Amino acid sequence: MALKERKSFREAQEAFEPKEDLTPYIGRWVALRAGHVVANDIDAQALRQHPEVREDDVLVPVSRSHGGYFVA
Amino acid sequence: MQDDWTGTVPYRHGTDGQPRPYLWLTLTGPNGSSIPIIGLADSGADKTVLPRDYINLLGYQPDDLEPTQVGQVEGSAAAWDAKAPCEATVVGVEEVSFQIYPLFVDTLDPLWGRADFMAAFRVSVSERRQELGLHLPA
Repeated sequence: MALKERKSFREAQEAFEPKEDLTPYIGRWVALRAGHVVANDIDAQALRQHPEVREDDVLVPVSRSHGGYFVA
Repeated sequence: MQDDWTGTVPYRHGTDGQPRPYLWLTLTGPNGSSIPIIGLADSGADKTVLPRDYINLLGYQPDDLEPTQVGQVEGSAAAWDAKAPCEATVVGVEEVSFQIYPLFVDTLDPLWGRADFMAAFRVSVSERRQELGLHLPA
């Protein structure tokens, strides 16, 4: 099995990372293109219907925090 | 045990500013749509948990879901247990695929759990290095 080197795995993960602060969108879904928000909505299905959202944009829910135990 | 492969990614910060072991996976649902999803590697999650909106995004139909209740920190909550799987890969490690039968809940926090993600990879966390590690063999 030819698996990727550690660096390319990390780079593949980083390619999807948001490039801007998402805190203004807490509680909503955002559509990301190259890591930048192109649209947002309270509902993922509604967001997918926005005219500015492309099929290959990544839809991401923006939560306030993890639902389990966490340090506030 | 010697690992055949190890990959690490740095923790990323959530909207509350806390660094945690998040990871991008690609899930392909019953409708054939492949969706990148960022989730938290969570050994406390028996299986993978997804926000309810992913039911439609992944193409699940009502007959594919079993209504249930789940326990969580805040108490019990309604949930929908998938009877059909998603095909999953970790972004950047597409050579390894595995199945996930997600539990859909009213949350905005995808959680990668033990029965699926952590059965495909041995998972480590280093708080000192602020790194999530994946290892093969599982």
